[in-house]
Amino acid sequence: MSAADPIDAPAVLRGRTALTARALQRLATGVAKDAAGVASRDVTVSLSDDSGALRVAVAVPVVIAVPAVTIIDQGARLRSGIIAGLGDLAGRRVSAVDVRFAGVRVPAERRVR
Amino acid sequence: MEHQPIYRRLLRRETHSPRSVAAATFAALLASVLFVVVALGVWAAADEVFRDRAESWITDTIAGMDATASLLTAGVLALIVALVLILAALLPGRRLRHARATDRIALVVDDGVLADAAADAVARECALDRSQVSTIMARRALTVRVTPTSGIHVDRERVTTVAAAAVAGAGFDTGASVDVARQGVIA
Repeated sequence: MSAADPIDAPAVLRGRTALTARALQRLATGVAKDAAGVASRDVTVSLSDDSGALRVAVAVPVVIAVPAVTIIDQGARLRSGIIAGLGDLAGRRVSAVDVRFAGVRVPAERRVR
Repeated sequence: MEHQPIYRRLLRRETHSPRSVAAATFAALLASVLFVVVALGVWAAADEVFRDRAESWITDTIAGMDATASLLTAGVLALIVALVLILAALLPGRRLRHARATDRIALVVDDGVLADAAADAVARECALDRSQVSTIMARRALTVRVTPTSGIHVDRERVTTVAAAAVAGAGFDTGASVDVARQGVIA
């Protein structure tokens, strides 16, 4: 079969791009950190399979910001951010994002000199 | 062309399990039993002392045995032997190999080799890890079982095409049936 392959086959067909489960988990943590606006040490992500799709469970603290954003909105933003981020960066279809808020973070106000 | 009858015979020999060992063993056993019976018969006819002794020994042995149990045991043993022999005679005894002949060569391939070739091709062409693809090559059908990566769709049509093409590349036209696992792996 390989004999029938044209020599100038598109580069896409050569080799395989693999992502380890650990790397995917770190990537999801990074995406969640950006979407939630917290430090990555505050984010806990666990991945599981959902009938062939990816299911993400994420725990982040609530961010008390000015102007205030409701917890529901923060959850929705985090959810859509993770779905879009993992779809764009890793090409994974995320079927569900379970968000759990644990703890509170108040962004440190910086004094304006 | 003049090789075709030879190829046919060789391929049949390569793809079917030989029964010659079973046949020779059974024939040798049967011949020795018959030889012993004939020898004892001749001896008994010639030697009166031996005949009397053998007769009394046989009578004693039969008297000392439980008739039902021993008959039952002998019957079951005979039945098992008969079943084994009948099955050995009637079953085709196919080995797990595929064979075909062209004008110039005759080809015998182990089913495991064809299955691995198909699995390798599917893993390569469909960007899956080799451990996520398993294949079973039966006589007439190739079964491919794919465990998807969580969040990445597996194109069943493509897997079927690639697996069938890999086997067809060796000249065996079995087609392929694909089974995608419901549960994926995270990778």
